[in-house]
Amino acid sequence: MSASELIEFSLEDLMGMDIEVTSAGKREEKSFNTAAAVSVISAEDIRRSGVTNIPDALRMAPGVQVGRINSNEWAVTVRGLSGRFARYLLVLVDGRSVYDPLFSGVNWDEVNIALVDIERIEIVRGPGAGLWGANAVNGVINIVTKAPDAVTGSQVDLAMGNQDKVVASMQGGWQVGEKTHVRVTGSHYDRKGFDAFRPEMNEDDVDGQRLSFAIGHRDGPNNFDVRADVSQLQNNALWSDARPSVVAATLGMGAIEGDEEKKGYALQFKWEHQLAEMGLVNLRFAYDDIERDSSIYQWDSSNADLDLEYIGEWNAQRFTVGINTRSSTSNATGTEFSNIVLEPPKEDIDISSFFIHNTSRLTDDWEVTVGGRYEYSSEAGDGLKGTVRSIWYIDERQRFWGSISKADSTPSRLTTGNSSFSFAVIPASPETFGIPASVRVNSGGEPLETAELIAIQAGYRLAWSSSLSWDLVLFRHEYRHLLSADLVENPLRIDPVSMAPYVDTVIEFTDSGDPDAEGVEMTLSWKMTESWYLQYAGSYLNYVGELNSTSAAIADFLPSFNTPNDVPHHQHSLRVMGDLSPELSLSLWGRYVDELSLVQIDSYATLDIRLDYRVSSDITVSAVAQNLGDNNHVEAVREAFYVDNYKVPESYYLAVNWKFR
Amino acid sequence: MKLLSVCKVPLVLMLAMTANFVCAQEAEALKAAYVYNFSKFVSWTDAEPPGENIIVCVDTENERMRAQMGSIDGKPVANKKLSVQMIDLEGFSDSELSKTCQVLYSDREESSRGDDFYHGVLVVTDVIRPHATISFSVLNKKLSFQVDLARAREQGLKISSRLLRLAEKVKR
Repeated sequence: MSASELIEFSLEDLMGMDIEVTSAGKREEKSFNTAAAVSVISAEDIRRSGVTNIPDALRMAPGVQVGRINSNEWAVTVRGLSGRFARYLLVLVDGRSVYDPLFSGVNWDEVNIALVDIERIEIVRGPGAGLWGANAVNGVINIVTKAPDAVTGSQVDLAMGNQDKVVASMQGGWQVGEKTHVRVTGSHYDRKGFDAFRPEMNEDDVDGQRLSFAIGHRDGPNNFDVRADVSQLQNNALWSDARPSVVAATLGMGAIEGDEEKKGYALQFKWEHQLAEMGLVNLRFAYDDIERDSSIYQWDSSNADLDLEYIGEWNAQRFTVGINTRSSTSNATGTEFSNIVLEPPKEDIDISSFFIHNTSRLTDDWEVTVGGRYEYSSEAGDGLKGTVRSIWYIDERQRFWGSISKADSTPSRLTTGNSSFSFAVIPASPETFGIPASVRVNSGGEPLETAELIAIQAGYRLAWSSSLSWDLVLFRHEYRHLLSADLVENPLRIDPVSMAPYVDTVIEFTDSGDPDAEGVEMTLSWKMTESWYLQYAGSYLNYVGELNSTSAAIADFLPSFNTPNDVPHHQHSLRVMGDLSPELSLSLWGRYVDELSLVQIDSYATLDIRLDYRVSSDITVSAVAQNLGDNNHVEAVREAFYVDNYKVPESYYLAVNWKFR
Repeated sequence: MKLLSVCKVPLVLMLAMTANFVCAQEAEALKAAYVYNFSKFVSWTDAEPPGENIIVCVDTENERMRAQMGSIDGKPVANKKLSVQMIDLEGFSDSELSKTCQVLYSDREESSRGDDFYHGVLVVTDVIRPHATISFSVLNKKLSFQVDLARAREQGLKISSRLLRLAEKVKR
C-alpha cells in the first residue's frame, strides 16, 4: 500500500505491520520465499549497469542466454533453445504478452521501452507454474513499468556515444486531483549499425521513438490503471537474398537491404478491486497493433487480450483462479525479393484458458502449491499444463524448495499453417564444390505435435547474514516434440537466367526434437562494506540426447536452427559497485560466455565500466564504457536469413540525468 | 478500516510464489505514514506555526521516499493540512530552516549546524543523529521509533504522551 492509504490506519495498527526487508543482497523478501527460480532486476540495477536496452539488462540474471546479433536483433532465451526466433520464452510487459503468433517469438527491437520507465524486470526460469499459456515453457520475463504514482517531478536523460549515438528520454509524473496520477515519457534512440566480417554487409544506423502514457486512479477499494504507448522504429538490416537466380549468379553472396519500418501502438486497461475481507479481483484488457513494412515482407499483427482473476485467502490457503482469452490476427506476405508464402496470408488465432492455483501452509514451515491450466487454441487444439511446488522454511535464514511442472508450447503459424519460406543461403565453398545452395523450408504437410516440457527443479537459499546471501538452483528439463527439420530433397538445378548451377534444398519442419537439459544456476550477493556491493550470477547448462540423423545432417551445414545441443555451457556475470566518494560512484561488470561450438562462435569475456558523478542533487553526469576486452566479438547469428557474422564493438558514451522537481 | 486481506504483490511473483502470508509494507510508505502521524502528536510551544499548513520538508535522494511523501501532501492533520516540500538541506542558510519547515525528514548525513538551525522543527531521521527528535528503528520486522525528549524540549516542541507510549525508547 502507498503512504496515502496507510494513513487511514491508526499508528498502533501501523506499528503492527511488517516492514519489507530489502537487505544487502537487494533480494526482495518475496523472492526469498518463492518456490521457483526467480530473479528480479531492479531499476537501480539497470541504471548502475549502464545498459541502454532491455536485452542487455537481462544478462545480470543467471540462466538467461543473451546474444546480440547486431544493433537491433538479439537471441534471448532461458536455459537454452535460443535463437533470433527463439520460441520457448514468454515475454510480458505489465502482464501483456509481446510474443507474436507468426513465429512464436519476440522481436526485441519492438520492446523499445524507455529504461527510465522500468520499475523492475522479473524473470522466472523454468515453466511458468502452469499459470501462463503459450510459450511459458523455458521461462517467463515480465517487464514491469513504473506505476503512475511512483514518479514525481520530471527528469531528462541524455546519452551520447560512439555506438549508442543518442539515447534520450523525458519523463514526467504528476498528481491530478486527489486520487489520480499521470506519467508521460518520450524516448528516442539512434544507434550505429554493427560491422560485419564482409564490409559490404555492414549495417546502417537504426533509430526508434516511443511515447508512453500511464494513468493511475485509486478510489477506496478500486485501483484503475490505464496505459497507452505509441512507437516506431526503423532499421536496414541485411537479409540473405535467396532467390534462386540471385543465389546462382552471386554464388550465394547476395543480400537484400531490409529497409524495415515498424509502427505500433498498445493500450492496456486494468482494474483491481478489493472485495472487503474476501480477496482481490483483477480485470485486464489489452490491445496492440504493429505494422511492419520492409522490402522483404509486409507483416501486420494485432492482439486483443482479456484476463479475469480472483485471489483469495482463508485460513492457511491462498487460492487463485482465472480465465483468459487472447485473439491474435496476423497478416504476412512476401515481396518479389523474398520467397515467403503463407497460405492464407491472414489468419486469426484464438486461445482461451482457465487456471486454478492453490497454496496451502501445511505446517509453520512448509507450504505446498498445486496449480493447473487448461488451454484451448484454435490452431493446436487443447492442452493441459500443471505444477506442484513446495517450499520448506528450514529456519530464519534458509529455504529449500522443489517443483515438478509440465508445460507446452503453442506451435506458430509458420510451423502449422501452410507456409514456405527461404530459410537460408549456403554460399559456394570448396566443401560444396563451388556450388551455392538455396534452402527453403516447408510446413503444412502433417500437423506438428505440440512441444512439451517436464521440468524438475530444486533450490536452496541462504541469507547468511544481512550482508551475504546465496541462491542455488538445480534443474532437469525433459523435452518432447521440439521443433526440428528434416531434409526433403536436394536437387541440383541450373538457373535459366544466369545458366549457373545451384542446389535447391528443401527441408520440412518436424517435431522430433527430444533432448534433455540439465544445469545449475547460482547467485551470490555480498554487501562488502557500507557502500560496496558485489553480485555474482552464474550458470552451467548441458543438453543431452541426439537430434535425429537427418536433422543432424541439416544442422551440419546450416547456421544453428534452434539446435538444442548448441548452448554455451558456462556463463558468468560479476558486478562490483560502490561509492568512491559521496559524489562519485563506480560500477564494474565483467561477463564470460562460453562458446557455441556448432556455429563456431567463440567464447568471450568483456567488461563494462560506469562512473557516476553527482554534480548536484538534481544533476548526475556519467561516463560508460562497454564491451571492453574481447573487442569485436560475435555473440549470436540469425538462424534463418543469415547473411554474415556481426561484431559487437567496444562502446563509450557520456550521459547526463537532470531532475526537475 | 479493516486490514486488507490480500496484499499487492507483483503479478509474476504472486502467481509463481507460494504465499508470503503476512504482507510486508514498503519501508518508504510506512515511514511516510509515520511522519504523518508524528505531525498529529506534536505541538509547537513557542509559536503556533502560522497559516493553514504544517510544512513537512523532505531531504532525501531516495525516489521511492519522495514519491511516498508526495502522496501525503495535502492530507488533513487536526485543523490544518500537510504541505510536503522536497528540499536540499545543504542549500539552507543557518536561519532559514526554522522559518520554512515545521517537520523535517532527512536520511542524509548531518552536516554541522548550530542548535538554532533546527529550532521549532520536528526532525525525523532514519538513524539516531545529534539533532534528531525522532529516529526510526526496525524491531522484529516492524517499524518502530525512538524519541529524544530532551532535544524536543530544546527545539521548542511538545510531544504528546500518546506518542511517547508507543515509542520503543524515550530519551529524557
